[in-house]
Amino acid sequence: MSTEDDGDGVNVLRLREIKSYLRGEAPSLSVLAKAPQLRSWRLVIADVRTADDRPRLLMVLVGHVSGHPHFIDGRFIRTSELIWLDRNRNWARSWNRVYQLGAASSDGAALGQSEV
Amino acid sequence: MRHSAATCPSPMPLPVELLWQTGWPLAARLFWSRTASIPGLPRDDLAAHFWSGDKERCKLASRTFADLLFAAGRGEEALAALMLAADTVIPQTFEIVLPQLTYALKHLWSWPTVSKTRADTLYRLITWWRAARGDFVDDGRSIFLIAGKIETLDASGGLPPPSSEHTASNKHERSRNDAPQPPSLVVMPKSRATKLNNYHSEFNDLVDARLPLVVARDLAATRKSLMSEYPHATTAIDLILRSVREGEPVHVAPVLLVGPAGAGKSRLVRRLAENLGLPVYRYDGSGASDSMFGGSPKGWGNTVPSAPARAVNQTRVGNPVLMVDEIEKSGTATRHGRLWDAILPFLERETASRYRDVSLDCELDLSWISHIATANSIESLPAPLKDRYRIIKVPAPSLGHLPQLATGVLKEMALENGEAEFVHPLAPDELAVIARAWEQAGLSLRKLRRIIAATLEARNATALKH
Repeated sequence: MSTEDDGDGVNVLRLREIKSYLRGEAPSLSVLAKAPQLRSWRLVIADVRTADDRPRLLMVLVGHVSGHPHFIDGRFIRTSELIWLDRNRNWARSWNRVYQLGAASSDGAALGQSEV
Repeated sequence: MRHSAATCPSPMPLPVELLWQTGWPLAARLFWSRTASIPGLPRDDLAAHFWSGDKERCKLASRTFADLLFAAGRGEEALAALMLAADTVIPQTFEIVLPQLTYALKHLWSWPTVSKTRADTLYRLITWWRAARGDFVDDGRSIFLIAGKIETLDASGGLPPPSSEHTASNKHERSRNDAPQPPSLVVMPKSRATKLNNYHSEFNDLVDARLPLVVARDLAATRKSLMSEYPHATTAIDLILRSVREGEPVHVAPVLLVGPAGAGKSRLVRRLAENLGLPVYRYDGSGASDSMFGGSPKGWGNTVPSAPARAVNQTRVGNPVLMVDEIEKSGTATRHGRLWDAILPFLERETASRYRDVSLDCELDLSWISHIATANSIESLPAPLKDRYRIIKVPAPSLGHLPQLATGVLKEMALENGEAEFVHPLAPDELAVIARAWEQAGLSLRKLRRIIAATLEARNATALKH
């Protein structure tokens, strides 16, 4: 889980996780306990173009993180593309990792959108 | 072997198939049939909500399905249920669908098909993403309908800029200037209401609620399909639809349909409402209803609001159809006060727009309700009541109408059985048998349905034997 190279192993793991969510499973408590947490988070829809120049929209999370391998606690970050958002909004799977979701942001302050 | 269900070869994953549907009802029907074989789903309990035609109830039922399907390990179907619960007015409902749907489309699912490729499907998904961005919050139509329409308009590949920034000031400006607001109505303004008592808890969320007004769409098609279904009642259909205008909220001025029993009056009202997308609230004029039309005053033990107020509250639409069946039969039912006296104020639009409900103790705007009544005869009705209604005759059908009527009945029965494509026309000899039986039954439409059903049963029985 901690490896960052987008090697085959990571791809397989990602696929396997999404498949397990599609069987109705959620990340286990131990996985969630180890996952970084986002507070005051918001969803942002970004407008991008694909390699073949087709328009595409995708979703990322922004918020204050804690327990992230690459960021100090409290840092305001933007995740990679979301590939699963729990319907109860308790957790999310981005391209790179699972996040635990704390309290959502209450204010809708405008933020840069197309950085992805 | 848990995997067997998931890896069982299927033409197209259900969510992908749903993406290609062009309306919520079509998508819902597909979902319904594809989840039929999943054991343990309380489909019967949810059916009434799922098929209610009321957006909020449909959404709730779909979300319940999603929870149950996820719990049963059927994530694809669960995702499909969440797609059915997605509401363009609330962009957040798309957020719990799109990340997983997009990923699965790109990296997980594959299906053998030439016409609807992965790229096509992803392209169609862009409209869903735009809905998540809030591009259609003022639209009110289902995402299935919008996606079906946009695809043809927007094939150039360009993505329009976001139409709203989700900031309050911007949104207000939009609604003031250019964005057309869907028509709506506050039936129960708070400023004119006193505190509701606990008999009325179900009316609580009607206070200050902005209810949608159903707008007339495709009137020409509605007219055509009704005329072919009721070839004997074309004048009535014409007169009723005359007061409805394309693109405007539907309001039919009070109509009283008079005709012999079995002419199909009540059914015509229902079919008319269905075609216009209006919910129907039925009040039984013969006195079988256990509550009064005008409501009973607050302060009584078991106080009940007026029938029109109940109609609006139950249908959650500002302009439902209130059908009073067999209005002439209420003459002798004095136990609830005379229906005829109670109904009069509602038939006058001006009065109905400021109706003080004695039970809710609140002034209501009920002026958008379409009042349609049926009667077998009108001799006994008092003159003031006859003055307020447009009285339209629905004659009994004749034998000459039979082929057309039978086709309509067959289609309807096929639709009810979920097999719209399989309408097997009646053979001439079958038609002749039906004609004889129908004539004996007094040319009643209700009986025609039964006769045709019996004929089909006989046909199937013989087919099985051979």
